[in-house]
Amino acid sequence: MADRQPATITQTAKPAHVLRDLSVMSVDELRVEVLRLRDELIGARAEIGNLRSRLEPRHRAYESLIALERSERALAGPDAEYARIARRIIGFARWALLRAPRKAVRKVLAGRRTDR
Amino acid sequence: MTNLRFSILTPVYNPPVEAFRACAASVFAQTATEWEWVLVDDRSTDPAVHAMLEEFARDERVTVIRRTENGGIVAATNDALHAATGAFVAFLDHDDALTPDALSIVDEVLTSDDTIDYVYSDEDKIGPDGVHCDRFRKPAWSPERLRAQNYCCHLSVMRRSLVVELGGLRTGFDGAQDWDLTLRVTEVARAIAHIPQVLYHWRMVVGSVATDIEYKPYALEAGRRAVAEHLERVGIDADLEVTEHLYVDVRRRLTARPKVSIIIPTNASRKRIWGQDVVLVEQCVASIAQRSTYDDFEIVVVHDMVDESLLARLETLVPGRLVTVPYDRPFNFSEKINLGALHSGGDHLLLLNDDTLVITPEWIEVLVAHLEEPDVGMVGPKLLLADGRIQSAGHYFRFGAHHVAGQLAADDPGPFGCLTFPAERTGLTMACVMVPRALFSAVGGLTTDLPGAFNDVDFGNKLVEHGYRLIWTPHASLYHFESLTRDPTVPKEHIVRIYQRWGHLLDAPDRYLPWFSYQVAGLAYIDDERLLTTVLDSAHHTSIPGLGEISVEMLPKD
Repeated sequence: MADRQPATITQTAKPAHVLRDLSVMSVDELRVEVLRLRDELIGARAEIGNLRSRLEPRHRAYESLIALERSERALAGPDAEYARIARRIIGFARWALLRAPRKAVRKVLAGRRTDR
Repeated sequence: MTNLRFSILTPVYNPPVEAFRACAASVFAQTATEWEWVLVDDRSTDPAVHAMLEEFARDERVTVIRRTENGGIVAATNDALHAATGAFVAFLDHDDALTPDALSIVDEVLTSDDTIDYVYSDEDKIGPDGVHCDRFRKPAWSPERLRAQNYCCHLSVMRRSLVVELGGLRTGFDGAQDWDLTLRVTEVARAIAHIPQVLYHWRMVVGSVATDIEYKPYALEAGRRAVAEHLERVGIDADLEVTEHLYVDVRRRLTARPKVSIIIPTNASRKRIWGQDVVLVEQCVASIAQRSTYDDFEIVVVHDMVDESLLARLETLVPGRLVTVPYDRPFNFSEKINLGALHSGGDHLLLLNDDTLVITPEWIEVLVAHLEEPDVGMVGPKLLLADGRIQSAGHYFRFGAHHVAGQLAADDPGPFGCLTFPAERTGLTMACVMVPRALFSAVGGLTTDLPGAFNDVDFGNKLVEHGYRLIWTPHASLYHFESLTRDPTVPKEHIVRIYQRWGHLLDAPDRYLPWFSYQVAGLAYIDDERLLTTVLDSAHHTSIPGLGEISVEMLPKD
């Protein structure tokens, strides 16, 4: 037996002002309507502002989490670019640091050989 | 030419040595690095002070200037200003102290917006025993309050070029020279920032203003003159005097007398007040007619279930000034007010509950006068309960909207005198407010989605969002006989509605009266953010589907 499809429910209620026929409204009713539409517009903007201010901290936290995960992945990856560069730097530093002592050691060793 | 961020300016004259050393230590402890300290010795006579100045001058960040004659704080500070090279100047008195992070926090704020010309922070005091006290939680930029009280005070950091352009501190204002400068700077500043954090410790030294303003009575008179000149510059006509609470009382004079429409929604209910059974609207209209000194007004009564004889009696109280508007729909206070506004002809609308009674004869003049400032959107008076206590001194927000000073004594000055002078408020009680008609219409009047509670909170926020200030004034008083036993329950959908629009503002610490934000209604003052949040969380929060955790703290019963 095939799965039953979920019922489709359509809400038919409309915002009150949509239902109003402007042609049968008196001037006073129209003025009230203008007030209400202005209030709805400002209210809608306020709601967006409210939602935005509540979402922003979450968005920042989410972005921080993504950045954290990204760096954790980078740290864990064997071929991570940072690791390759770091190995090169370490290698270079070791080479540069050891070159001078190596020369000195060679001289010392060479001197010993001469002594012999 | 240097790129220094800050110049700390300190005029010096015989400070207590230990306090001066502590002051210096606080400067050298700054975590910020881009600063210089300019000290001007105003002919101190104490050799210990000379020695200390020499010691401080060894630091390359310190400049010490010695005046050839004693010139007073204004001359010494101006000398420091002329020697300063930083982009901003910070004022530090010789016996006070900065917090170590003061300049770095100010720097952070200045970096966030390069139009900021003036920054001020919260402050506290250091008592004789060294204990910190009197933390002053200051309002966000509150120009009306600054006319009564130099609330900005310490720490003040100003753009140097602006201060120089204005000529620095002015002679003749000794004792209030900083107030005078703040008034002049804020008149032209592009942006002003308040840091709600103590960055300055003001030492209570005997004989200083920090201990008692009465030590320097000349400072009060200088402050009064500074405010008078400021009002003249910004075009406000007013009488000024120093109050018993030692603030400047600004009484505005009207330059015009616009027509005012007083809109009173009523269902002709009766109530027993002071032992008498009265019809509220009749008593209200009678008090307007008998006590008001303003003559150009009409009264628009929006009524349901009102009998003709009552309407006739109202007409005899205010002959030729009464407009009656019948209302036959289910109760909706907002709708009634909107309807009344549409049937009115005044330049200003005075929205008034029928359970009010005029006390101050010049109440309309006082309210109208504030609306002469173009950025004032709404003004409300002091409302008293029948027993004489305060019913509302405006609203403050924090996990909901609350009446400021609800049930305090009528003459209670409030913290830092905030109930003694007109000042900005986050919200005003709709029981009595005045608003320009054009503005009322522009923001869509009162929202009919909120028929009973919160329509005032919503309306005030709409004005604030459009850049207008809301002013509360104690210079006009009315009784508001709202019942103390009234059921404060508000339908949940109305709470959801107001939170959908303004939840972010309602939950945050109040913009203008943050002190009240730390006082749990009916409980103690809790000066600890974490503790306060814990208490409020457990006491007032609930879960509402679709919104998650929100506050259901209602307006107090009265």
